[in-house]
Amino acid sequence: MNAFVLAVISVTFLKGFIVKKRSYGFVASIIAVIFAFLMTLVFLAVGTFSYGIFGYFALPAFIWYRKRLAV
Amino acid sequence: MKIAMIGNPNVGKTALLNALTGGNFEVGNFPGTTVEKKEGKAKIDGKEILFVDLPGIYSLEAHSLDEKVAKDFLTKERPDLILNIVNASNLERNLYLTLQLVDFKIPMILVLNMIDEAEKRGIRIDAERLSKILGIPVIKTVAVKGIGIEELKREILRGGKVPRVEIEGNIIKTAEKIAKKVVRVEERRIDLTEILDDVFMDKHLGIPIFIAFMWMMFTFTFTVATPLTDLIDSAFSVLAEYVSSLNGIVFSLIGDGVIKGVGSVLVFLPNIAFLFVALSLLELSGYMPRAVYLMDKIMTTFGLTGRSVIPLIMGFGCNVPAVMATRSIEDDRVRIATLLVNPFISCSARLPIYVLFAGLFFPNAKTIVIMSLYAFGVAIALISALIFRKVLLRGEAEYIIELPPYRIPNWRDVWILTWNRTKHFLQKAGTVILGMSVVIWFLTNFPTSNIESSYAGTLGKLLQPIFAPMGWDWQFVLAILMGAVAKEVVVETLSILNTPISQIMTTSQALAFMVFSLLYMPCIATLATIKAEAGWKWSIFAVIYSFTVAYFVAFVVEVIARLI
Repeated sequence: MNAFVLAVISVTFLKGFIVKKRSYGFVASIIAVIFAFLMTLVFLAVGTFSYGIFGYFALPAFIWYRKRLAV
Repeated sequence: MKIAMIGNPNVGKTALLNALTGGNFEVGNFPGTTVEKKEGKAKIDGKEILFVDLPGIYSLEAHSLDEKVAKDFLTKERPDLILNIVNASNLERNLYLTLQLVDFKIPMILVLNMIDEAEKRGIRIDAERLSKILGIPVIKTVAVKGIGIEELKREILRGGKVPRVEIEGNIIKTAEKIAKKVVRVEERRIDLTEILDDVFMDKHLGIPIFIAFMWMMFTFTFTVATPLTDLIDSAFSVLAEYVSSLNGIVFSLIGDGVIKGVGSVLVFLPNIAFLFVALSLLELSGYMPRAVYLMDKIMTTFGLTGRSVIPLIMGFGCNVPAVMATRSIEDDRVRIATLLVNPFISCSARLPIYVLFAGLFFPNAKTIVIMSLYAFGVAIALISALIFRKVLLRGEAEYIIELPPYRIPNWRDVWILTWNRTKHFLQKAGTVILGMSVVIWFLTNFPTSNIESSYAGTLGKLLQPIFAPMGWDWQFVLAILMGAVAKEVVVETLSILNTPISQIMTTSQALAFMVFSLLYMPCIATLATIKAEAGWKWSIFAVIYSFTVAYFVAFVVEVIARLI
């Protein structure tokens, strides 16, 4: 299921590029950061690693989209 | 001084009540959070004031139960002052109710709440002009941030004014004219709600995103809470062992009965609290009603309406307030159908059963099994709704759903919502579950301490043949029987009986047991609420129907799982 979440994030980014709408990138980056935070908690709680932790790399994208969308 | 707080749904009445009284009432970000009047007291400049928060309504035409509650209060109890709370972003629609309130000739203050959101959307309201037109004071507030509250308190002490406004033609046209005079919309920026809805309501991505969020919620609830549950489990085990090792029947009662029994339920406190944090975040952010809106087609197919959505969502927390929330449904047939299917929505009391059994039988797929059980409960609820609407409660019903704006959840509201719900669980642990632990201990220790020949053993064995098709041992049958009081008691019973669950149960039987626990009869508190909201007839029907469904479905699940 973690892979499913990562796929959803990727597809959302991808759709944003295809339809040329920044809102998709904005939402995908929010989900990626939330997921990264959650996976960090999981790692701390039970020691299970997930690639979802790398979702923090979407943070600059989130800030970029936020500025562009002037939210 | 008695003040009525009245306004449309989801305009922040409860948040304003909290701001004025320093109270801890639950707020939500969807229409229909308040279904019965709430009271809060406050002293303003030494003057004692009673605030009465009425359910959110669109008009005083008394179509639904909550509209009737509000109208009855105004006519029978005649408050000294009305605080009419309106959503500043939607003045015209809110004025419809304001103009209906004029007829009561009660002093009034108009509160333009959530003014910050309106201004963000480029909406400017001339409060002074509005005040002159209506003849009453108009105060701008942001209740959740405490903005404008002091000014409002000063105005309350002045007592408000009786509104004087000419209704030109009909109320709708008058509201439209007033709004045109006082509202100015500047060139607006793209609003956050539109940006998020673009994606969350996307016809291809909406549902996958929803599933991703659900997965994250359940991972947070079960995996992240693990160290805390382990810690509580160890603490109670050590304590129970120590107390029961002391000689004497009283120590046995406290150790083997009370501590072991209550501890077996309290172990799941972190899971429940974490689930409530996640649910509160989803509710307060405004995402939850969208998630359900995505299921729009499915909902209407099953004969429910938009108004059924909120009670169904609330059911994940506890079925009691969820059944009460059906009051906002205007159509009586839809209301009855919604309250009858609500107990199939898996409330938090059932969580300890899933965590225990899924942990033992599906250690590597615990989260997905529990998530599937929640989804299964929803599916059974919808199928039942369809049956009720086609057979017992036939008739067309309108579909209206109001989507609230997205908001960044306020931590205080998250805390209040989580704490109030968790507190309910703790109160149950200290009352019903504690009481049941004594009952179960007595049943297992008398007339002999040999469990097989105790009252519990006799009772369990007596009823066991009924559940023979599912192959459950008598301990599980007894747990089900005791769990009718409150679902947490199922786990408590098994713990006091020292049941070696994984040794006397197969995986298919465990799956069937979880399904049965999900579906079989509402707990006593929910049943009492169904009786209060719909009468004896429907509460008896709810017991018979849910038991029959649970029995049949559990049997089918056991057979299929065994074959697989």
